[in-house]
This record gives sequence, structure tokens and C-alpha cells, in this order.
Amino acid sequence: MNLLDTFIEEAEEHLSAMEASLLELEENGVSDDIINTVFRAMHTIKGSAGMVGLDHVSYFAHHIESFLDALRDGRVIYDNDMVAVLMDARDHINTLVNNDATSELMAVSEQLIAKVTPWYESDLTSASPTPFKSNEPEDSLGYWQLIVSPHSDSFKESFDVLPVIRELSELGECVVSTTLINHDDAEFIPTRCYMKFVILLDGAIEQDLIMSAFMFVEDDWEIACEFMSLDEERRLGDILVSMGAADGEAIESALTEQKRAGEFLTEKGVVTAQNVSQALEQQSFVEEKQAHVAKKQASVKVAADKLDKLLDLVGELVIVQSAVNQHADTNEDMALTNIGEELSRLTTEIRDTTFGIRMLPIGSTFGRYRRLIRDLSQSLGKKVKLETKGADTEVDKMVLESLNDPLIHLLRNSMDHGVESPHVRLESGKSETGTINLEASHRNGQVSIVIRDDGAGLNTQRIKEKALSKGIISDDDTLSDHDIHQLIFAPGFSTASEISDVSGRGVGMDVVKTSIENMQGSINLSSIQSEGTTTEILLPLTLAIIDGLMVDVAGEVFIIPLSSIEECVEVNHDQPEREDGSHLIKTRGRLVPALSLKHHFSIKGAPANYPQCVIVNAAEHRFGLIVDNVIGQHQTVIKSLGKLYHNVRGLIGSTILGNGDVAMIIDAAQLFEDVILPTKYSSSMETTNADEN
Amino acid sequence: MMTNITFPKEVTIFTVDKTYAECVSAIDSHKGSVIFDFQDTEEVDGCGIQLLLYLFSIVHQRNDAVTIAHPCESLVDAAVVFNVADVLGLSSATEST
Repeated sequence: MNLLDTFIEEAEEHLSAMEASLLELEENGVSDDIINTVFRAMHTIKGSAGMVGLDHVSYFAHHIESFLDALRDGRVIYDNDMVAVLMDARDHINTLVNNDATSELMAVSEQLIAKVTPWYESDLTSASPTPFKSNEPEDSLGYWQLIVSPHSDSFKESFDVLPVIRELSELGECVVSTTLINHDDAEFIPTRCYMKFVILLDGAIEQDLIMSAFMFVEDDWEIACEFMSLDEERRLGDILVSMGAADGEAIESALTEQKRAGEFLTEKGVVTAQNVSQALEQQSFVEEKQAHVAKKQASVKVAADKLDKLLDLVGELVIVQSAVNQHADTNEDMALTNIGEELSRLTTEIRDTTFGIRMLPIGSTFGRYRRLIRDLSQSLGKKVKLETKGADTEVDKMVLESLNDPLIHLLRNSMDHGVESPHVRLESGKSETGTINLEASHRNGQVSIVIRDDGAGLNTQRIKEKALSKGIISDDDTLSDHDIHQLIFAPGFSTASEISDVSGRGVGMDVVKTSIENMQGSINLSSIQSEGTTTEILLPLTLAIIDGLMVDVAGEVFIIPLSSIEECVEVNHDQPEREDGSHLIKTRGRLVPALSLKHHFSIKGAPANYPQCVIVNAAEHRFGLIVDNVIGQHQTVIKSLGKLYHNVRGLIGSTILGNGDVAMIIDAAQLFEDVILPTKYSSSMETTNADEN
Repeated sequence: MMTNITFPKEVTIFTVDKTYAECVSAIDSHKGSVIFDFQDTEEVDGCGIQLLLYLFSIVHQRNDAVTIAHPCESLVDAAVVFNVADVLGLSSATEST
């Protein structure tokens, strides 16, 4: 990766942080924390852009930074209108970073600069913005050093130092060094204050908070509060000088002899053992922080394509491992079996580690959805708040990337069709601000993403009418409300009276469903009129390798994804097969529709003596897949089927078995839709008690 | 020889003058190690801690040992805040509290 690529990648991260902070600013109002984050982002982009020769970016960022500098210094009073301009500036930098400096782009730069300039005009005469000195630095960058010398009459004036030091020590991680200075033994006056403190505090604590501890004494006490960089070495001699335990000259002279500093200074009587002990505590405070930062920074950026390549190789390794195991079994070779087992263990570990590297928190995408909701709220004239939960939920990088478009579709739909305009909400007794919840979690080895709005809900009657008019259903069909709601996933279905920029082109939900299914996921929607709509997406943790169940159908091997399997039962010969290959299987007191894979895929072969039924759950529907024999669990590397088999339904891909044969991977959800659902008895039979039949 | 000095109920800005005079007198008049007994003490403030630090330093200067007996909660608490519990030999008291 070259310097420019690195800059662009980092700029995107900074712009993303800036966007999140600006949204927070708009929602919660101004705070030093937010302004500092935005300023930091702009400051870094300006500096880095200059370094890589993107002067047009640096020029624009410089002006925005000047404004932000004035804002954080209090020279400019924050106004809500500023967020929109800063948001535009953020978007413009994003464009500038990815494009050459055209005259059009420069014109936009000037327009935006012209908007912010009046806000800090009085400061324009000053030089360029002050170097970044954060009022609230990042924890990882340093720590606060306070050197506090209370006034000698503090005790006499009833200002005890104890509560002040206690308040500071309660702010966060802290080391206090206390020394007595400037006293002559003969003239020690107990009511005079000889105490001096050097206090190291966590860098994440706000400076204002620190200084508030000195509210009543700041005019009388000597207080030096300085932010110290972790890059600077904290030498024992310097600490002892700052503590007032000794002067620099004495330390310098004592240290001319090459011995351990603390020991030697104590021996020489320059400082006491207690002074050294306290100084060492300060040193270890800093060293711990340095180690913490080093640990945090001990990561490397790896190009995404290299990770993809690594995963491909792991996939190949899994196949080779299967081949070794199978060869060992076939030849009853004990030595090879042992090697195969060890290889399996290592392969599983490599596979899990590789997956771990590719896992990203889903929260990294939440920021862009917040922005989407904000922008749509403004364009639609609605008041909507996005609440997110489960930002730490990790999903595979590939899943995360593929999830973006479906989520945008769903959120747009919630905004456009779900949440009502403020006056409609008020009329229906709701608060004028609608809420959209976006929640992510891990559930049964899958990733669950729920989008819930408290809007109008789906209009069942209107969907039904539309489906009838489009011929998606017929008058004879008996459908529950839930079934009718699922019709919005049908291709070309839309109830929107007009096509808008936001949604309503009739392709959204179909595309969403297809995208989710392409990821071997499922989507389920439920809605209550006037109360809102909930959509849940269930996705596998990864798209590359899955655990599957290997089954045999007249000599052909199929893989059924283990995540969709509920149980396996033996097929009772008394349960006859219908002409279309469907069965009704009695399991756990209920009748479940089942499909013969042999029949469905037209595989010739004698009927099995003891056929098995694999009960799967697809989109909350249970049904069975009848096979001749269940072979066992199989770590399955998914290979795409290629263009020739692109239109074959019921298969999500293929895999290579240990013996080199190819096995097809079953798409249970598609089989349900194509075969079970049209038979009409699926949902009713599944819920009917067998005894009642 | 060991000198036992019992501290008053309060070791604060309001009492340090008197306590200081009594302690210095006792330390000066007896050689050997010193025990500061806090069994009667209930309150210690920043000024009291300063006095203790000073008294410890003068005993140490003549190379004698000094220990605190029966430290009260207020003393231990203040020593912890100033991070001088080690200096005053109160680490074990700190651990037990």
C-alpha cells in the first residue's frame, strides 16, 4: 500500500469519526469532547494531505480547522446551523480526497469556506491555526502532570490540602507524590504548609475537571498542569527535581558516578528513600501507560484482498485435510489417521484464527446509517431517531460488506413508508419523533440484525389488493396476515403511490431478500398496523466455510448447512410418498411437510431401505428433506456454481469432497419457497396436531 | 530504649502546634526508637499528616526507627490519599482496611 492509499484509508476513518461526532453534536448539543474529536480529525487530515501532496485538500481542511479552532477556544459561539455546514464540509473533503482538484471542486471549496469564514472572521488576521493542543487529549497519547505547591498559609486560612488531593485522586487513575519542601528544621512551624505534590493523572480526564478541584485555591496556590506525551522518557532525576526532593545540580553532580540512580542518590543523601520510592511509582505509572499504548498499537493493517486470499487458501487446506482423512479411512492406515487427526486440529485452528482476523464489529457501519436517517429525516420532513444496539457484534468482513445495501433499503423503507410525518403521529397519539431501532446480536451461531420502527405498520388490505392486481396471488388463495406481509418481497411489488428518491421503485424488498438469501441468510418480517414493522435478518457468521451435514441420495452426496438443521428422523414406510415426491412426516406430535431430494433432483435409484428425514428450519418454517442416508458432519468450503448452474434453484453452491468428488450444497429456504410453499398445506399442517388428523 | 508518644484525639490544624511541641520535646529527651501511638486519635487532617512526615524525618535523621501504633481510620485514609502510607509504615494497615 503506498502513502497515498494509506492517507485515503486513514482520511476515511477520520471522516467517519467526524461524521459520528457531528451527528452527536446535532442530537445532544455541543461538548468539548465532540468539538475536539472533529477538530482532531480535521487537523490530521490537513497535515497528512499536505504530506502526500494533496494541497487542495490541505487548503480546504485548513479553513475548516481554523473555524473549529475558534469554536473550541470559545471565540465562536456554537450554533445548530453550523452542523449542516460542517457536515457538507466533511462530505466535500471525502470528495476531494478521492478526486483531482477540478475547478468545480475548488468552487465548492470556496463556497463552503465562504460559509464558515464569517463565523470566525475576527480571527482571520491571526496566523494559521494554533498547533493542536487538546484540552482533553486521548488516553493513549499521554497523561497529565500536576505540580501543586499550596500557599504556605493554607492551613492557617483553613484550606486543608487533603480534600483537594482526594478529589483529584478520585478523578481516575492517578499517582500522588508528596514531599515537604522549604523548611528549616530549627524553624519548622507546624501550621505552615510545606507540602508539595506531583500528581500524574490519566490523560483521558478533562482538564477542566482537574482544574475544578482547585476552584477555591487557584489564586493562592501554585498549580502547573501540563499534558505530557508518552513519547517523552521520564527519568528518575527529573521526577525527583519536579517533586522538589532535590535540585537539578545536586542530582547532576551525584550522578557523575555510574551507579543506579535511586540507590546512589539515597546513599549520597541527596534524596530520601521515600522520595525515590515515590519517584519510581511515577515512573511505573508512565511505563504502564506506554506499555498499554504499545499493545494497542501492536497491530498492522492488511489489505483486504490478502485476507481474501488467505481465506481461499484455508478453504483449500480444509479440502486437502478431508482428502487425507478419507484416504486414511479407506486404507485403514492408522499412521495416516493419526496424522489426519492432527491435521484436522491444526486446520480448524487456522480456520478459526483466519475467521477471527476477518471479523469486524458491525457498529463500524452504524455511523453511516445514522447519517442516512438524519438526511432522510430532513428531506422527508419527518422526525426520526435511530437507536442502535449491539455495535460490538462481530461479523465476517464479507458479510458486513454485503449487508450494507439491504440495510440501507430497509432503513429507507422504514423512513419512507413506516414512520409517519410528525402531525400524523401526533394525531394518532404518538410522539412526533419516530424511532427506528437497529439491533445486532449473535443468536444460535448466526448474526441477527433487527430493524424495528414504531411507524404505521404494513397496510394488509392494500398489499393484498396490489398482489391481486399484479397477479401475484389469486382470489382463491387463503392467506394469513403474516403471509400477506411476506408478499412485499415478491419481485416488482410496491404499494407506494408515487416513486420517490427514497424508495418505492418496487425493487427494494425483492433485492433485499435476494441479497440476504445469496448470503445463505433469511429475512423475516412482521408488522402490526399502527404499531410498526419489525424485520429480522439472520445471517451466517461467515460466507466462506460452513459446517454441513453430508447426506447420500442414491449415491449422490449433498451437503445441508448445519445451521438450518433441527433434527434427523427415520421415515416411516407407512407414510406414503405423493406423486410430486412430497411427504408428511410425523415428528414430535406434529405433521411436517417433507420433500424427497431424490424426486426433486430427478436422481434415479432404488428406494432406500431406511430413508432418513432431515428436519430443517428455513425462514421460521419447519420442513423435511428426505435422503437415503445421513453420512455425517462435514466442514464445507463453499464454491460458487458458475454461470452454467446460475439459475438452478435449491442449491447455494458446491463443495469438493475429500475424494475429489463434487457435492452440491442445499439451499433449504429456496426449496421451501419453490416446493413446499406452493403445495399450500405447509403452514397449516405444520401447526396441526397429528392427533387431530 | 523506646519512646512511646501518645497522640491526642485530634491531630489537625487546631492542635498541631501543641502536639508538635510535645513530640519534639519527647523525641529530643529520649534516644532510641520511637512509637507514635494513635489509640486515642480520631481525626487527622492534611496538616496532621505534614506533622507526622516531619517527625518521621527528624527521627530518621538521627538513625532511629519510628513506628505508628494503633493507627486510626482517619490517619490511614489521609496517608493513602497523600500516598505516604509506605513512608509512615502504614502499608499493612492499608491492606487490612
